Amino acid sequence: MIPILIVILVLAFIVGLVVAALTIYTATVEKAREYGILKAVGFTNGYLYRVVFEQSLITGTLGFLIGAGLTVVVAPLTQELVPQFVVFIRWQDVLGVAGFTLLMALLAAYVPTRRLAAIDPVAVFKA
Amino acid sequence: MVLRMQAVTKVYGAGDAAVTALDSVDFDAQTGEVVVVMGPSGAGKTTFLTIAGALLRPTDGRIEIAGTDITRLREKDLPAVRRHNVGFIFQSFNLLEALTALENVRLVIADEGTSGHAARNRAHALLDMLGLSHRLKSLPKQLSGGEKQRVAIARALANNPDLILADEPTANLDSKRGLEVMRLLRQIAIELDKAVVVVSHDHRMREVAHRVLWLEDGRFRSDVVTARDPVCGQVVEVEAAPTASFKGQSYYFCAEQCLKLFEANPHRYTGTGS
Repeated sequence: MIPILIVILVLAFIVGLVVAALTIYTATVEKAREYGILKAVGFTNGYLYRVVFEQSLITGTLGFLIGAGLTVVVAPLTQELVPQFVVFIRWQDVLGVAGFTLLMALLAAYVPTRRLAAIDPVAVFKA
Repeated sequence: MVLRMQAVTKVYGAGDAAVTALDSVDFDAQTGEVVVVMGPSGAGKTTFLTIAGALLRPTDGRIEIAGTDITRLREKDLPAVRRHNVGFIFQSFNLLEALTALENVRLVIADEGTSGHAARNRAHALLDMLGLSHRLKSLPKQLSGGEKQRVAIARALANNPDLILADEPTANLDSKRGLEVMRLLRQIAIELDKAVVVVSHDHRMREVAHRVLWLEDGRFRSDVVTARDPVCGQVVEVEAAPTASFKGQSYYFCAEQCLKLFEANPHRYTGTGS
């Protein structure tokens, strides 16, 4: 029997990954012309991949910090309002969530790489 | 010779759907000169420019940029050629909207192994040279068309390439700003010793050009008589253009639309007064 908390954690990871991937993908598609400009003036696909990975990592890190901060603030209030709901924050769990967030950000950034490679720099010549 | 194209052919598609955009074209450009390539829409001008700038591979032929045969290079080596040897100026400026004028120029230099400080100084010096020292921190949306194009010119010069390729650089500018940009391109060719190749419909580009070539149906033609469309200012081929006569003089147009505008009010376009 799989503990319910593990199921919730796996689902949270999948949902988080899908949302992060869609966000990064959409941001890349929206900026396709700008990536095309960079390609036209001589930036490599590798450079553009790095930009997307950096964006994804920064967004993931900010998301983790905001989420962790909110958890610390909201946890005591939750316990006060619903005493049956025990919140116990352990540093190893915080580290684990940080690690999974990082993993999510890296996997999400991988999604738009094919789209980036397919951007045709010649298109920027069109007015 | 900065740019040498020999028997360059570009065919899009295959079989019955094949379209020959460039047909065995020969072309040279050397430092210190402005070469203007004109021609009707669909003549192959943009294909010519993108192939000359290592953005598009030809179907056949040989292209040398600054002594390097780029047709022999692998796909992954072409960005470095564009980065080091070619500066692009686009019709729609193509600046990055989220970056300031200074950042737009510095970005191109920043990845060159140059220190951040040196890159910033070079970007600053280029913008200063182009009269934009008061606009360093302005975003593209805060700049006028002429200023945007000058930032784009600074970006094109950022890595000190020998070859500058400009696609309709005056098309989105009013006549005064267009003239400024044209003079600037000539100045860059002569004073900075660059080869400047411009694709344009703008008849005024002739004033700054050392050579004007006519590209049509994928080939350079030397036997073409051209005239200026009095309505839109485009250079048109007399033989193929719609024509109208007014007060004993013939006028030629790029399209029926311009012809109709002319016929509705010829005084307006001939400066003869109504």
